[in-house]
Amino acid sequence: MHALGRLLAVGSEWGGYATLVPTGGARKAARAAADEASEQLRRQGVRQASRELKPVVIGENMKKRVEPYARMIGAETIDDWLARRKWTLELNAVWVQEMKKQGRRVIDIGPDFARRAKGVAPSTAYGLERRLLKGYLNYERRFLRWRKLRGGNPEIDRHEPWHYILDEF
Amino acid sequence: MEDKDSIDIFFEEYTASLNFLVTDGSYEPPLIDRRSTWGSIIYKVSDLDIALELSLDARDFVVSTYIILFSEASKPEVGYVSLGKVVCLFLEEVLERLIAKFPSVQEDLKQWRVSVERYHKRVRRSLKMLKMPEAEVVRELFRTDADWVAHFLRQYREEIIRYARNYWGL
Repeated sequence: MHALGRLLAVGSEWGGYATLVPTGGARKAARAAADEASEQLRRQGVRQASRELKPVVIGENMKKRVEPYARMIGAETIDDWLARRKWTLELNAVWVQEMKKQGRRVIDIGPDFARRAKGVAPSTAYGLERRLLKGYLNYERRFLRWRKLRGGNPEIDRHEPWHYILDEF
Repeated sequence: MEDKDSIDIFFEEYTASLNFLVTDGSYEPPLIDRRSTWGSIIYKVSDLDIALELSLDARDFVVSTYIILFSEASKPEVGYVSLGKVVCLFLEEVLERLIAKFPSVQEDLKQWRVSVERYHKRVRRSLKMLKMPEAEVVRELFRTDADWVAHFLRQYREEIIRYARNYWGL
């Protein structure tokens, strides 16, 4: 078997055990192939993990929205991960990175528009989560937004904002 | 906020300000619950399926005050809505309904927002710098808000309950 083919078959994880030592351009090509094989294995692992691990829910208002929604769909929240530890912004960021590393599906139920309509400022912690999840492939948005203070998730939010949305059309 | 937990401060301040609800016998002793990211205090009205709920979102130091349909809204899987029915009303929106009858409520609501916002600004400033706010600021924030909630309940408790009874047909 060709050296490159042999390395591809083994995969980069085990590439170090290969007895063949390519030189020059062949070494470069072998490294590239090994990296690609490794990335494929990693993606496969992440996909496998995300199938086995429960999705997590993010959004504003942990007690009235995030937790009830997570219970409703059989998902988890940051509280499950914290397991009674004291919450901090740092731990919140670590949690997001950990969920990404595990390849978890992250379901975003969005801002608490009812609360924002009462003058409550946007959540800093939720904003941080959104920033950290930018470009994450397993991110799933489950809310609608209509202008600044209207929208939500129809399964969990109060109906009034939806009436307003319909009024607009 | 190194050694003092905001949820503990929340419990201390609100139960101290609202203790009169229990001592005069019109409400049952508070039901207290907590997770890492939130804390809640529920005062159920004696012999009625209505309660006052104070809920702290510890990630934002935001306390929301609700009037709830107790049998539904106190379930952990229930938020604002249960089986298509709203089971959780903001105290503020109930008070807004009383303005026609009690015009002074409007000015009180305005003052409530202004005095709480003063402390909230300081809290948000800290969080934006990725720092936890000082315990004393958090305590002042909760104390100010709790005093306003106590004020409204002292003045308009009966009207609030009447509105909630009509809303849920109790």
